[in-house]
Amino acid sequence: MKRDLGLHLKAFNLGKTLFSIGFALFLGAIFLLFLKASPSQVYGVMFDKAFKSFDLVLRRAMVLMMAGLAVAIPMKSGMFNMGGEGQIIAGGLTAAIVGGMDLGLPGGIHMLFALLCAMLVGMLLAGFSALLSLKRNVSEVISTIMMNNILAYIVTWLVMNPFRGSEFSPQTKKVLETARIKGFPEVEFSWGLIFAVVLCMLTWFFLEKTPKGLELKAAGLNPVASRYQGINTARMGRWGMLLGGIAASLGGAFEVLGGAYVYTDDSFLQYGFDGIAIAFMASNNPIGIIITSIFMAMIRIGSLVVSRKTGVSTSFVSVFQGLIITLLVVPSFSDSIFTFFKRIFSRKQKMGEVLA
Amino acid sequence: MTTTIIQMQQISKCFGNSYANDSVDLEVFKGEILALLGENGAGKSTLMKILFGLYSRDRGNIEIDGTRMPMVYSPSDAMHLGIAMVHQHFKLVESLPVAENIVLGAEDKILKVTYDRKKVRAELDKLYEFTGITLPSDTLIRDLPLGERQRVEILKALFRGCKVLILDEPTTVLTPQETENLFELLRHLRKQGMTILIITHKLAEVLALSDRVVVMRRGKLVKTLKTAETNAAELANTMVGYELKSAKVIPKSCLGLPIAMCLDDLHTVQDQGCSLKGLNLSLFSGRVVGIAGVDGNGQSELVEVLAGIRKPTSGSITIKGENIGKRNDALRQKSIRIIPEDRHCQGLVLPLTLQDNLLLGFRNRKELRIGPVFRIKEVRNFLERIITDFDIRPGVRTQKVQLMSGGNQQKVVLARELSQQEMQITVASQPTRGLDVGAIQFTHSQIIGLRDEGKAVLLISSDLDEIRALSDEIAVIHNGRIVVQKAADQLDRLQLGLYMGGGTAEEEKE
Repeated sequence: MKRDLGLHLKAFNLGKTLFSIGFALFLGAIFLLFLKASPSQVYGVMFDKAFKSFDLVLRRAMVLMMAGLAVAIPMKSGMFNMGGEGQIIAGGLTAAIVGGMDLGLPGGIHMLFALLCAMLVGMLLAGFSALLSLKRNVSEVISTIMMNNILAYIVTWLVMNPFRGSEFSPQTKKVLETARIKGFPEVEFSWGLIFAVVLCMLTWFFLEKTPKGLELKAAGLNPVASRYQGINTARMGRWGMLLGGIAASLGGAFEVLGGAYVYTDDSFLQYGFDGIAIAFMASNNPIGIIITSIFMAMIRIGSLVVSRKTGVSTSFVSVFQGLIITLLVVPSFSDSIFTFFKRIFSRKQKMGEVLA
Repeated sequence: MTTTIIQMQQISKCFGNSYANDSVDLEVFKGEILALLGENGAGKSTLMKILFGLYSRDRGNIEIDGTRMPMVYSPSDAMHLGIAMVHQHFKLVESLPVAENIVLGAEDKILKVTYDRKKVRAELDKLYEFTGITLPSDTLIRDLPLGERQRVEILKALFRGCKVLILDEPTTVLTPQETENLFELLRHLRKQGMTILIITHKLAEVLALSDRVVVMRRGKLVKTLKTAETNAAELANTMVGYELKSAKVIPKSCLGLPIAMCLDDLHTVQDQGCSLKGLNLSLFSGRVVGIAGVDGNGQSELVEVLAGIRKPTSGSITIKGENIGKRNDALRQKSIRIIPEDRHCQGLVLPLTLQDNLLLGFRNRKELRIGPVFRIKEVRNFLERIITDFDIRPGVRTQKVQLMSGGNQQKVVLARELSQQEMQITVASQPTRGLDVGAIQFTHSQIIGLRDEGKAVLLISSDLDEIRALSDEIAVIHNGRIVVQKAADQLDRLQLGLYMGGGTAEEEKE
C-alpha cells in the first residue's frame, strides 16, 4: 500500500492541484446552495478575512508547513506518519515547559535549548512507532494514529496538573523572555515563519542534492532495487520517521515560543491532520508544501468568520477540505477527465470523417 | 487398452514475433503418465495452458475425450470435460482450512445452502479412500508445508471429478522425500484410471515416473519416446539438441590466476524459492565463470547473497583471503557490482530520473561530493560522460527512467554497474534477457572487456548458448548446489544437459 501511494504522488503538479482546488470550490458551491447560502457571499467572506489578516494566516502556515514536512519526509522514505497531531502538541508542550523554566541561560541559548528539547521529544515519539514497525511489524499508520490519542490525554493531564500555570484555565506558565522567538513589529508572525520556510527549502535541498536524500527517496520508491544498491532501506525508513517527528514537534515549538508564549490545552486542534492534507496536495514536494500550507491556512483562518457572518457552520471548511483531498487523491482524476473529453472529441471527429 | 483421451493437432501459438508452440501434435492415452520434457521456454507450459483453456491457440485442433474444442474456451470448460491443472504456484486460500479449500468453488456439488460439515467430511473421506492419503482437514493452509499444499491442490482437482491431471513443474518446491511421496500418489492415481500429464525438466523424474516422454525444444515437439526404451543420455541429447551455434571466444589461459572470490559451503534459509544447500564456487581474476542451470535452482538466491540482501545461514565468502561470512551487506559497497536479472524490480527505481538512477551507484564517491552534499557540476560532467560512453538514449538527465525503452533501461543498469572501475568482481544475472541483437552484442563485448581488464566475472544465464559463448569456465547449478565446475571446453552440451537435469557422473558414462 505504501508503495502505491508513493507512485500516485509523482511530482508536484501545480496545474493538477489548482484544477482540484477549482473543482472543489465548484462542488462546495453546490453544497452551499443546498444549505440555502450564497456561495459567492460565503467564499467572499472567507477570502476577504484571509487576505485582511494575512499575518495570522502566515503564523498558522508556519505550523502547517512543519506539519506538512512531518508527513512528506517519512512518505518519501516509504513510511506513513499519521502522528503529526500528537507530535505537535508534545513538541509545543515541551517548548512551553522548558521555556517557562528559569534556567539562568542567556536569551537565544535558552530558546535553542527549548527547541532542542522539543525536537528530542518528537524524535522519540516518531522513533517509537518506527521501531514498532521495523522490529515488530506493527503498521506505523496504526501506531502513530493511536499515539495521537494517548498523547492528547497525557498532555491534557500534564497541563491540568503538574505544569499548570494559571488557576483559571488549563495552560502552562508563560514562556520567559529569554526563550522567546523574536517577532516583527505590528504583525502576528515571528522569525519562526522564516525558520519554517528555510527548513522546507533545506528539506528540498537534502532530497535533491545530497547522497543521503537520494538514498531516502530511492528506498521509498523501490525498496528492492535500493537494497540491491546496498542501501539499508529499514534504516532509511527509520530516519524518515525521525525527521518527520522532529519537524512536527518543531512546528509546535515555533508556535509556542514565537506566537502564543503559552501552551493551552486546545492550542493545536487539527494541525496534524491538516499536515497530511498539505503534504498530499503538494505531492510531498517541500517547496510545494510552503504554498499549500499557506492556502490551507487561508481557508482555516477565513472560515473563522464564515459562521458568524453568513450562518454557515464552520464544518463546511472540513467538507471543502475533504473535497480537495479526494479530488487530488483519486488516482489521476484530472487525467481521466481530460481523456474523457479527448475521447468525445475524437469520436466526433471520426463521425465527421464517416459523414464526409 | 490404448484409448486416446486427448488429441492435439498442429497447435501453434505466437507471442509477439516468436512461436511458443509451432505445429505441435500431441496424443495422450487414457490411464498413462506422460512427461513433457524440455528446457525453460521450450513451450511445455504454453502447450498445457492451451489445453487447459488459459491461452487460446492460433491454429490447430484440440479434441478432449471425443469433444471437438472451439478455438476459444475457458478453463471452466476444460474442467467440465475433466481436465485439471496444478500450477507451479499454488492457488489456495491460505487462511482457510484444508477441507474448505478442497470444496471451494465446487461446493454446489454437495452443498445446498449452508456449509454442512458432516457432508463435506463424508465426501472428503471418500476422496481420502480413493487416493490412499489423508490430510488434516481442519488445518489452515498456511500452516501446511509446501508438499502437503500440493496434495490439497491435487485433491481439489479430484473433487471436481477430473480425469486428466496436468502438473506444472510439481517438484520444484518439494524436498526429495516429498517428491517420492508425490510420485507414489501419482502412481496410485494411474492405477485408479487417471491420466496424468507432468511438465518437467528433470531427467530423473521422467525416468522414474512416466510411461512415455514427449521432448520439446524451442516450441517444437522433437520426439516422443517410450520411457522403458530410453535412457538419461538420449533424453538430455534430445532436450538440448546437438547444434553449436555461437563462436567461442578464445579462452585465456588461467593457470596461476589469482582467486578473486571463493564461496564455501553456503547455505540459506528455505523459503518460497530454492535455498542454497552447500554451494561452492570459485571466481578467478580475468576469467568469466558461467553458471548454467534451469531457472529456480538457486540462482536468484546466490545473487541475493552476493548483493547482501540475503544472509547466509552458514558457510564462508572469502575475498582476497578475507572471510566476509555473514557481513555480506558490505560486499556491495566495496567489491561487487551486480547486474540483476529483473531490471524493473531490482535494477532501477523507475519513478526516479536517469540522473538519480545512475547516481545511485556513485553516491559514495569522494570526488562527487563535498561532505554530505553532491558537487553539482562534477556530478553533471561525470554523468554526461557515462551517458555518452554507453550511448543511452535519450540522454536527458532529467528523463524519468520509466519512460525509456527496455534496451536503454538495461543500458542504464549496465552503465551504472560497469563504470564502477574499482570493483573487482562483476555478477551479471540474465544480462541480455529481453534485449535486441545490437544490445546483446554490446553487453557481451562489455563482459569480455571486463575479463580482459583482469576482473572476475560471474555470468548467470538460462541461455546455454550465451554461457558457452562467453565463459572460460562453466559451473552447473542444480538444487542449490554447484554440481560441476570445469573449463568450458571440457563440457559439451550433452554433459551440460545431463548435469542441469540433475544427472550424476555415473549416468554420464552410460
